[in-house]
Amino acid sequence: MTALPATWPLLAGDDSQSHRFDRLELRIRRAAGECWLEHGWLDADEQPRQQQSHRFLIGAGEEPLVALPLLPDRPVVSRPQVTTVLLPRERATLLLGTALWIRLQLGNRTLLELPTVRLSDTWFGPNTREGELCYASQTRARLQLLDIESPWRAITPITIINRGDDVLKLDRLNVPVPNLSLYCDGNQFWTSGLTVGRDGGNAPARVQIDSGPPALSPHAELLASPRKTVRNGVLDRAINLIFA
Amino acid sequence: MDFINQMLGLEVSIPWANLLRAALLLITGIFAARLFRRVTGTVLGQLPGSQQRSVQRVTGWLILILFIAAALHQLGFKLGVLLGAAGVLSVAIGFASQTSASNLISGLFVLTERAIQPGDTIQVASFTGEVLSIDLLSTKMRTLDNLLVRIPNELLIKNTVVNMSRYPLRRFDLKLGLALDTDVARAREVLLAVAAANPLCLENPQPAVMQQGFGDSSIDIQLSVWAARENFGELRNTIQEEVKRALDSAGIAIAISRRALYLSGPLPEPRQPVAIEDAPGGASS
Repeated sequence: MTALPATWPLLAGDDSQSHRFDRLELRIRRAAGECWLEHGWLDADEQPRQQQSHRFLIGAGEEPLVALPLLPDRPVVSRPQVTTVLLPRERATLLLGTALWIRLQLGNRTLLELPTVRLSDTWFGPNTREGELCYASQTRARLQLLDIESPWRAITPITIINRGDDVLKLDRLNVPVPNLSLYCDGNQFWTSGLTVGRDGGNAPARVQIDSGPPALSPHAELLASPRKTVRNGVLDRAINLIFA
Repeated sequence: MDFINQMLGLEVSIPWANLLRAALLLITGIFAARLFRRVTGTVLGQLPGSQQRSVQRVTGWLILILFIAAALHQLGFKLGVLLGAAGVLSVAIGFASQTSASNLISGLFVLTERAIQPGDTIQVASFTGEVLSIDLLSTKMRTLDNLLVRIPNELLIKNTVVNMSRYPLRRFDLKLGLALDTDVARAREVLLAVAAANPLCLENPQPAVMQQGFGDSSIDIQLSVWAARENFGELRNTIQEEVKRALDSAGIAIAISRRALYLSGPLPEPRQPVAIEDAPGGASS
């Protein structure tokens, strides 16, 4: 299996164990024929909230329980903390971090999928009737890798090309993470890169998903394929509305 | 043949060939009706189940009635007389079943208008619930307390119907009356922080705090937050608890109804308590 970062918790074979994945607290208890999972998310005061328990009847299953990193199940809309503007006929590669999810598997059977951080819902669309439900996140839209590295986030390099004669204001960026692959280079999680080309005026931006690992980490190995696939790596018109 | 004519009590004899043709028409009619129902089902595959069934039923009966009329014609019945009688009968039935006819026509409008669909949550008259089916005469609904409500379609056309599940998002408005000495700017900050911390509350459309004016003893404000339709109930419950907790922590009080009483002129002298003596022989308790 691909080497995960050293900080990624490996679930030992103990009957009772607890782990922390960023803000997610997970307690596991195994007994003959059953497996109990309790989880909750820590708030700003480090107090667990929204705690839930699950009991799985696993038969005589002696397979090990594993926690695999995964990308969120909905697109993530990132709002730059400071309004960012790309000048006419310029290009830039922004680095956006996305909080990971974990998939708890017994052998190759999935028990649960949980986010490591509980993100707020948000709506991305032209009005309240059309659009899609996404997760909301704030980003600093960094340019340097050193500023963003985190063991709990996957970095998406987004190359934005502004071919227009007017400035491109980045108020919100819709990162279609369910369409991206997840990679790991042993230290850091990455997603497939995105290239967004914009011709100016009201023409919709065209989004291309780069194939293979991102150029910033060419030796990263594939951990998870996209949850949703797209034809030819080009996203459809609805997701072309990447800027808002 | 005579035996059959005697059995049917017919004075005129019906030739075997006509009888055979009539039977053939009847059988063909049954099969044609079935075929048309199937074809209509395929053609109208996009329509919801109840609408599809209604159109199929009407088409099937129309085809069958046509074939029955043709079969009767073969047997020598004068259809002109029959149609005349049917006309008179239909007028009589029409008068007798005005309500049903009105519901039937309303049902067609409801079906074609598509303002509501089975599975939608609607509010009509004093009922709120999930639409189970839209039939030709009535719409069946399951209320939130698990009762089956049959609403005549005429009522759906005449009344205002609120469809609560048409759009993917819903807004929840929480009206609050805060104490008159409240720092409104601080209250706004607290409420927006509560909305930001609740993962079910959408970041966009943005939560808003609107000042509604001054009440008798309160500053009236409204917190408006949006949620995905399926999370609306949960958001409505959780955010009210969180707002109360946050206001308490911030020392912001919910208004209590107060009245200031101003008296003009000097206060009357307080009355002296009067001792009440027991009546002679009365029992004291």
